[in-house]
Amino acid sequence: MSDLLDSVRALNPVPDCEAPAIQDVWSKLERGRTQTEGAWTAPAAVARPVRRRRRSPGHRFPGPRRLTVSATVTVLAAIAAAALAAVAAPGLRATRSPVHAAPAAAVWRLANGTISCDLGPGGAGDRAATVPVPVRGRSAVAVCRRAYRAAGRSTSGVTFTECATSATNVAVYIADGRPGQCHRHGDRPIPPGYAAAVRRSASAGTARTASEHTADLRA
Amino acid sequence: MDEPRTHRAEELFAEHARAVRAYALRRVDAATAEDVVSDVFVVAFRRLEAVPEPALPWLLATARKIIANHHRAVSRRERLACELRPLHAGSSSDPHAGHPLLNGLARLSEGDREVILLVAWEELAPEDAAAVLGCSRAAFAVRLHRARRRLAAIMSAEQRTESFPRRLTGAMNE
Repeated sequence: MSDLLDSVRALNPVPDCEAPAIQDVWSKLERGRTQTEGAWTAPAAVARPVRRRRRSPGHRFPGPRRLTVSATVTVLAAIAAAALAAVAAPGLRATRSPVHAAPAAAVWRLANGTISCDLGPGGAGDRAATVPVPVRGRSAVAVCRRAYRAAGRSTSGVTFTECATSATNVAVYIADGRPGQCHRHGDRPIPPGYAAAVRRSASAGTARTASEHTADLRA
Repeated sequence: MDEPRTHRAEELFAEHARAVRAYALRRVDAATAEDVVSDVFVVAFRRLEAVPEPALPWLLATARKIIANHHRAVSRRERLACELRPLHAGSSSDPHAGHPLLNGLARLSEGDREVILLVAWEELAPEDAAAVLGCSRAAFAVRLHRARRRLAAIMSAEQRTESFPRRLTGAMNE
C-alpha cells in the first residue's frame, strides 16, 4: 500500500510554490476583518459605548410635515427600484426557469470545460464514465460517438444525449428515449447557448479547459 | 502590535506561509487561496500566544476550517466542482490531467481524501497530520489505513471495469 501513497505523492499538483506577500496580512489586520474567515469583528466599534441622542423636551415624535416627506421619499424610491428592475432585466422576467436564466459566463465556462462519455459497455444501464477531456471547440456528442465507434461498438440505431454534470463538465449518455434523462442521472440539461459558445470558442482558437484556475496554478 | 510580537509574527510567516499557500492551492482556486493564506495569518497574528510549536499543523487546521467555510458559502454543485478542481485538472499543460488515480481520489469521501493528501501531498508526519485533523495519532493511523484500503479497492474496481472506458478515453483523445 505504500506504493499507492507514493503514486499519489507523484501526482501532487503543486509540488512547490512561491511565498505569498505578508503585506496582505498587515492590510487585513489594519482593516480589522477577513474575507473568508466567516466572522467579522470590528473591535473599535464594539468597544465604543452607545450614546443616546438628546431630544428637546417638547420634541417626542416627528412632526406631520416630516412624516409626509419621509413617506413620499419611500414611495418614490420603491417606484424607481421597480422601474429599474423592469428595464434592466426584461429577459429574466420572461421565464423563471434556471436553465433559461443561466448567465453567459456560466455557459462559457461549460463550453470551455470538459467532456466525458458515460456510455458503459452494456449501454445506458451500465454506466462507466471515461476520464474527462477538454472540449476544445468540439461537440460532446460527436466526440463520444466517434470514440464509441473507435472502441468497437456500432452506433447504428444508437442515440446519444448530453447533460451538464457540473459547472464545467458535459457527460454524454446513450439516450434511453424517455424525457428527463438528465434529471434522472442527477445532472442538469445543457443550457441554451452552449452549442453556440462551443462554436465561438473553436473559432476564437482559445478553447480553455474545465479548470481555468489551473492556468493560475502554473504561475 | 509591539516589536517582539511583530518580530515573532514575521518569523512565523517566513517559516510557514509557503506551506500554507501550497495547501490552499491544492484545494481551492488561486484567488481564494490567496485570501485563505492571509486569513490564516490574520487569525494567527491576533492569537499569537495560542499558536503552538510546531505551528504548521495549527496553521493548516485553521486553513482547513477557513476553506470549509468557503465551501459552505457556495452552492452545492459549485462546491463539488471546486473540491474536485485540483483532482480533475483538465489543462492540456498539466501532465497529470485525467490520471486514473486522481479519479479514484475524487471518489473517496472528503475525510478519507484529506487523510491521504495530508500525508502524500502536504508530506506531514502522522502526528502532525493528526494535529491538523484534531485527532490522536492512533486514530489517525486507523483512518489512514482505512482510507488507503478504500482507495485501493476503488482502483482495483476501476481496473476490472475499465477496459471499455479506457478504450473510449483513448479514442476521445485521438
